Amino acid sequence: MEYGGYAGKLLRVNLSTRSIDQQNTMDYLPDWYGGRAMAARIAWDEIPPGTGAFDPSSPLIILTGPLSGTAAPFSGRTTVSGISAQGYPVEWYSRSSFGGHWGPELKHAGFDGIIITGRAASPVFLKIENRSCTIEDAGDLWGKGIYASQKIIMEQYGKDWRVFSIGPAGENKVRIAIAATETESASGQGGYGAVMGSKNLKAIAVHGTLPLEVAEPERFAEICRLVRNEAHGSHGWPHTPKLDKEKVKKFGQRYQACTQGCAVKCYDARFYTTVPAVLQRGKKLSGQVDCIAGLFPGLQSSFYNWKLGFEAGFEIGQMANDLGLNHWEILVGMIPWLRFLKNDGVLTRIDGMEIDLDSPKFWAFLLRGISGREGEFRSALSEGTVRASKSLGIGEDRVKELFPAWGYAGHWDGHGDRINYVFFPYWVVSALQWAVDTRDPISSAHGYGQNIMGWSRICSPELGLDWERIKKVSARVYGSEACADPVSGYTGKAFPGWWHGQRSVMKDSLTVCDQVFPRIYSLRTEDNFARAGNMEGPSFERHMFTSLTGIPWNDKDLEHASERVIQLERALLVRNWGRSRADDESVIPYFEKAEQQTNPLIRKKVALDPEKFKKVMDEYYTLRGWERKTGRPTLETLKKFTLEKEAEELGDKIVEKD
Amino acid sequence: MVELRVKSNLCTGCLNCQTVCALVHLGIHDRSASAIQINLEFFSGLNSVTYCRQCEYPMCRAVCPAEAIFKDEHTGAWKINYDLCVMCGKCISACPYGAMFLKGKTPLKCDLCGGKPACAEACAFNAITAGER
Repeated sequence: MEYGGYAGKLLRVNLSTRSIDQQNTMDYLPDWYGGRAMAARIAWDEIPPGTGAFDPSSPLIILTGPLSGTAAPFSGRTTVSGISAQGYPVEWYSRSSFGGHWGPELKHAGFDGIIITGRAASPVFLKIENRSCTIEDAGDLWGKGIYASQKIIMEQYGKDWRVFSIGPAGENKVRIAIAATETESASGQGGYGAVMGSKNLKAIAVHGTLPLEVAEPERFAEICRLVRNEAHGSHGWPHTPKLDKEKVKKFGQRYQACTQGCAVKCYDARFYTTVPAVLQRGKKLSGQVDCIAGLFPGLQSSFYNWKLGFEAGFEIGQMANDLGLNHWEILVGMIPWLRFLKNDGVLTRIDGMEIDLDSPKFWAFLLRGISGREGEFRSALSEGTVRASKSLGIGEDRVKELFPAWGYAGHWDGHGDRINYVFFPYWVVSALQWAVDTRDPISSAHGYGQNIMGWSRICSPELGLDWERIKKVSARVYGSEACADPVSGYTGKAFPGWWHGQRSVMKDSLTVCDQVFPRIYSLRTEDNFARAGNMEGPSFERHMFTSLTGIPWNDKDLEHASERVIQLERALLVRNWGRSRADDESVIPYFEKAEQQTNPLIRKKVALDPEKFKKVMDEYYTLRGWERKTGRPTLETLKKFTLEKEAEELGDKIVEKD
Repeated sequence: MVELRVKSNLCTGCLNCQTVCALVHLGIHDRSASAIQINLEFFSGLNSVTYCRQCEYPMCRAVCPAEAIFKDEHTGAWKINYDLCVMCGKCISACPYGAMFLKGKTPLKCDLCGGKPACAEACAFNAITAGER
């Protein structure tokens, strides 16, 4: 292998013909340098217009990146791309990602990724070990939960095997089905569990002991050490969260890495070793609770005020994992929607059972029914809340309050998502990110809104930075203080939307944790701008990448390669789905309602001003080199990114320049 | 004289100890070529660490027919002299802690990294620390 960090081969499996081939990863390097970047290239080449998520020809593209699972800290993630079953109003090309230890194991097994097409005649799983792959019968696994599938395979082959599996929801092509590994590492958004299910593919089991080369071992080791130490104790917030003493004592709460390489005490990841079950009385449960799963028990005095309690909430969360259902959709979209409908007097029962969000029995009835497509109402919900609302003809207005676009519930947007605290003008950037994406964009774009809010004194009264400090750091990163100024309105909001766009690609391609990178703010430097050794925070990823791979890129090269991915993804959307500015603007009405939180410096709730926002969109399109009228890349732009052939295919769908 | 101190109950399963061990010793990325091994328990959450105690009377040394295991007087670590090692594998089965590993036919053993163990440096959760013996 010419470059360090890569396993060197891609596995191509056609389940219809049962053919297994190996392709050199070098075919895509260095330009399409891993994960999301490589997936975009494959998607452009191999997904023709008219392909649906469940068509056998629709490829499921599972890729690691060069950093994945190496000594690079926070690097254990894997990306999943392809036609999304969750996408709305159309199934279109999108992406997801997951942590755990599966991706690194795949690399040790000799593969940087797997591209799966076709549909097996009966349920199967893939068995991959040290450069070999076989298609195995999964008849005994079909119908089993994600936990049981892993345990059965690990019992058969060994404890050091890693398994990526779907549950009943994926088997039944539920559009909000996940595929996952361990107890909480899921490719959650996108419905890729359903895509796996449509291929009759239950699981992918991997084990490997092959080494990977490192281009500059000493330099790479030192850079990893510096980055790991700089990032200790903060991931979007300046303070280090502590364990909850009561939960440590009662439920065995502990830190557990949600992905290989994690080196922070993260807000998002807690493991519980002994939680008494409520529904399965007498049982003690264990498992991980990451991110939004902490919402299952309900919160006091807020919008999410159901009262399941910790034990039942934990049990229901683990049940959702095992059945293979998307936590974000359920907790931030579906349950708030049902709560609205009940409070509005529109609906009191579903499929004969009273809606009672305080009852674990109701949640179990709901989740089991969705994953098994049982009952009229729960079957409808198997299509996701947005499609269900439409097919049932119920609560469509409430859906518009909770789902900004593309079939995904709100996320760091200041409106439908009330759990994340973000006020105007910061959610203007979120609105822009939502506008130009194909999914909930925030899962790889926490770097702006979450970072600023978390580092502000509003969210971190003791250790947070004052607005002047935040503005000064912002000026270094974005070129202008207005980009993070709390009273800057719409000024300077296009640039962060543009910059974090390519940073998201970088994270999903290398791969590294979204909650840690890019490093921007710090408590360890005088000016609060993150640095380690002679490296600046936003360059950390590039230093790790170059010393590992030997690809001699500077910051601009890596940014350019990452932006090129956005151009190719957009070109694909234009070619296959006619994506245009009108689609992008469809997010605007969602943001026209008054925000949930109030900026204390403005002291009144703000709603999006569509005309001003459209000017921000103009600025964004100009930065991207897209025609302002149509939102499509121009010929000039595609040439700049050496995508001339792709431009030719787009023909008269694009203009020469804006 | 240095020793590794390990608290398995603090191990989060990040495997940074394993990846840096192979990186600093062999200049490659190979978790299975690490002289410290984490046994991940995804479903109970109770990971455990298999590591060398640098025993006072090491069994690995006692069974070695080639007398290839010698003491580094500076750190107190028992090290392998690969020029003498005959790759018989007896040390692997002799270790009561299971803390000597095979990569291919080559035995791997913790050498305390010359006194500054990289695994301890990489552990952000103090599951592995290094201290004076």
